[in-house]
Amino acid sequence: MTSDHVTADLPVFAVFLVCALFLAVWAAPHRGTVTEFYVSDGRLTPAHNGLALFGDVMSAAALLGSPGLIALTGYDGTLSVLGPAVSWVVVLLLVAEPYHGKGQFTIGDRMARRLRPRAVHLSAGIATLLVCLMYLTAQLVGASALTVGILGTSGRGMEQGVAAVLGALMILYIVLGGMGAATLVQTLKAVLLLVGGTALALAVLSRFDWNPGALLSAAADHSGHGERFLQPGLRFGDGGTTRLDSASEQLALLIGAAGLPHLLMRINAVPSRRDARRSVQYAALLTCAFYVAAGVLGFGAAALVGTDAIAADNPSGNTAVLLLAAEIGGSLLLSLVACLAFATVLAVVAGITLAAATSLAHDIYGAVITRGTVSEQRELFVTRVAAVVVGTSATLLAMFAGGLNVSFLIGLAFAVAASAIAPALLYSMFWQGFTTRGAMWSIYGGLATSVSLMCLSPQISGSATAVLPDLDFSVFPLRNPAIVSVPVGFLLGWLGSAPFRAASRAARSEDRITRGVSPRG
Amino acid sequence: MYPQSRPPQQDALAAVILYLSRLDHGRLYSDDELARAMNDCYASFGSLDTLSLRYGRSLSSEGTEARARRERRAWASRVAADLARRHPHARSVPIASGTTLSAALEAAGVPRRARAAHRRALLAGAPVIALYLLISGSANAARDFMALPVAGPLNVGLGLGLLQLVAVAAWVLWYGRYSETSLDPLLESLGTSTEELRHRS
Repeated sequence: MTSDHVTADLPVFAVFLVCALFLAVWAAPHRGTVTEFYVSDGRLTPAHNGLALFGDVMSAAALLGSPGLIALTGYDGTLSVLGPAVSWVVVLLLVAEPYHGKGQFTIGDRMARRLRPRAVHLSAGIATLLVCLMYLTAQLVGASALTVGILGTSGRGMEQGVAAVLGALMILYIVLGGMGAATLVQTLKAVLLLVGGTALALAVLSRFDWNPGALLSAAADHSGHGERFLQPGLRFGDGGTTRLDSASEQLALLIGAAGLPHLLMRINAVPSRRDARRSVQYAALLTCAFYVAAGVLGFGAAALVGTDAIAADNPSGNTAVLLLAAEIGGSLLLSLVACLAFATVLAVVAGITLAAATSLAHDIYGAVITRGTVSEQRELFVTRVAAVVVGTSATLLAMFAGGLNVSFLIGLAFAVAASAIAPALLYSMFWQGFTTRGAMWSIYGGLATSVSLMCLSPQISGSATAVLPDLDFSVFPLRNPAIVSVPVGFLLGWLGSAPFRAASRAARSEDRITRGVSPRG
Repeated sequence: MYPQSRPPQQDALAAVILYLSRLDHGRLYSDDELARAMNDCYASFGSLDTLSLRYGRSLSSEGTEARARRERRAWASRVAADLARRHPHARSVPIASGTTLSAALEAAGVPRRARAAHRRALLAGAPVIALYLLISGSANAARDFMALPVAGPLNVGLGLGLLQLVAVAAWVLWYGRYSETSLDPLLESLGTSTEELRHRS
């Protein structure tokens, strides 16, 4: 792509950002309560919240990554859109309704309903912060890498600037508007994403006389792989390790969605359990619909642009949709899709920053440091400071890590969510014998297992695409630790609870008796 | 505990039926009149869970007649206690014996039905997840099968992928409707939630 797109892109993008910023100020909280700042008083309608929830899940990976993977690897790429869709079934069945609670904002709050508050607030807060920081950094790095994809070689050197601008905007949104602003940006982006994705998919189909069969045939013809493009095997190849690797990645996607802090936070932005369920329903339906369009875009890119051209432009295929847009509608459409991609990143990082700031202020500062004695005004102030701190550190990390291959961070964020947060959360909601000790073991154990296995994996060292390609200490053969660390998280939760269960039950009934007798109840 | 803040399920079954009957709580009735009205009311509801559902909703509804509803609840509970005291073994009016609504619900197997309904929802979700495991597993193991042509360039693998998205959407729609029509009313009549139900079992 050439540099004349710069002139077309930048004004459009700048106008969009300014508009969005004004919207954030307009949506800013007026009453200054924490409930309003964290969850918009829990007053969103299910449809609105569902749309925003859909937006939270649709990161740049969904708009650019999945179609790109399909364009490069055909059938194997389509597997990447199935996992997120199916994970909604898990969230709807196990998490949406039991997680909802009035006056609760964080994962620590939910666990503290039955466990010792201070300990679970601290551990859940640490896990939340880690997941959010990794996810944030990966999104910001992805966005700055996208700049090069859009602006071509002239975009080099602007990468860090883009990360800084996006980081500053996301901090500003959250500090000014809290959940209200995050929801607004997310809604705006979700609508644009749906409209844009559908329109682009329809434009692709119209090129093939509305015949999906012709689209698939053309994709296979232009992919350079022929019939094999539509069959399994291009991405994962043979061998037991790759097979285990793909199973591990899918496990992380499936379970991890039930432990992502920014998704869980949205569940409390509606008035009732029924509305929480309805929000997730809306989000799941929109996700399914969007992924059909993403499939059309992926195969369309292979058919119209050609797999070789896509791989030549970007080896990971992230620019496939941009190339497709340029092919269909020229530079104007390219600019629009590029803006859409930046809006997507911005909305997602804003949501994550809010979740991280809430956890830092409410869990760590509010419940652990001040033991719940902090005033509402002060907690609100701390939240805003926390948003600045978290946002700045993620932006700095992203600028520092710009030259490294940090694609493993998304996988690691999902793996930590799946092995440290999800087991303890599910146990605390569904197993009465779960103890605080079990929660500690599960959270810290899952966290340590997933992070240390990732450090020993070929993602960090010992392969050409690793973060540290010159070193080799990769003892663990898989690229995603979930298949080991998720069972470890669940097992530790059980081990920490079951053997001590009888003792704790006796203590609890004793506790109940003394409470029943005491005059203060 | 004040009767007004007591959960509706703790009220006597007879009081619940009196509350929902057509009797006027400002008047006095003979035992025969009471028994007839209660039997009629009980028969008109058909099942205990709809009865409990209606009672809970009536008590929790907001409005100008909150005071009248409070008075009616107190009257029903008074009359029911009186009936239970005077007819401890009443056979002609079985509902006049002193059981509470929650005990009656338990005896009628409503908690069991709610647990079964919830289990059914979980079981219905299992095939959707199983399909996903099947697809991702056989993408590696059964490549020739996935490459079988179905219609034109569409092969089994791509067809299953599309089916998966449709299955998720269909299950989500079904689950929503099932919860609204089957699960929620049962839980609401018990005044509980799925997790409490499971914790109790």
